[in-house]
Amino acid sequence: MPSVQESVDIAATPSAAFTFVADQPERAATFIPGLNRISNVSPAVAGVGQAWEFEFNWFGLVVTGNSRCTQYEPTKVYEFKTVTGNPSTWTYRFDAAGSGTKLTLAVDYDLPQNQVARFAAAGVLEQMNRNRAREIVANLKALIEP
Amino acid sequence: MSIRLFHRGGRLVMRSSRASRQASTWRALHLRPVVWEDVFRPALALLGFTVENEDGALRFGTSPSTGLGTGPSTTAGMSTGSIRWTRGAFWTTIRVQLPACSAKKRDLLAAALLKAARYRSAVTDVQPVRARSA
Repeated sequence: MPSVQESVDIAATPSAAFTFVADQPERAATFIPGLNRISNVSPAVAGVGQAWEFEFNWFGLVVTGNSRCTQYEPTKVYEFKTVTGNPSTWTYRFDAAGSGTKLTLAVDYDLPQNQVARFAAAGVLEQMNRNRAREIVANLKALIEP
Repeated sequence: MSIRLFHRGGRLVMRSSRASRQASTWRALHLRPVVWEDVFRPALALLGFTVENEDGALRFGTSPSTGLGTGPSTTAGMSTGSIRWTRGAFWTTIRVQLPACSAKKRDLLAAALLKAARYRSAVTDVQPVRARSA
């Protein structure tokens, strides 16, 4: 299973960074490029088992599916999995770094062969996903830092 | 999982002009009226803004509402932003004034509001009046 991992240093406490990323799944649409809508979040309180529906614009195609939170350790780790369609696992880690936070996003995903064909090569697809992960952590830094 | 070409229930919203880096005008086409306050208020709240309705316009950026201690609303020296809209029969003109902040934050805020205008469901969208059958 391919994976991408990107890190960024954020001038905010791990608690503040964790809260921004994990307490409301709908907020992800503000920092994940292409994620246009999250709906039907249940239950309302964040934690393991919280589930939601997503609509993602994946390079021209609208992909919809469901996700479920699988790990929720305040100030440390937030993880969710897409539970329909292509399996993927998104893990955000929050490590104290001085007075700030080192935030690391790791995404493990399957490469569906029909999408590999669309983009000609798995390497191209992986580079696109890597660029997107880099953009996500940069957006989080911009939004969380004062 | 499903794959489609269009978003279910999405609205057609286009940027029609940009007066400055902070001010732009959007045009939204729709078949039935949209309660824009219910579209924009939750989107702004997610980013930590306190939102006030003044004379039919939303004003935001004055103080944090979530207590996160993070996000654009706590940026020192940030001015107030606003969203105003003028309804037509099948379209709405939306004028967005973003608070003063870094270019990156401004771009992310504008993108988040545009996503909300296009894709966020307004629970209280005005339903068309249907004639009752006798």
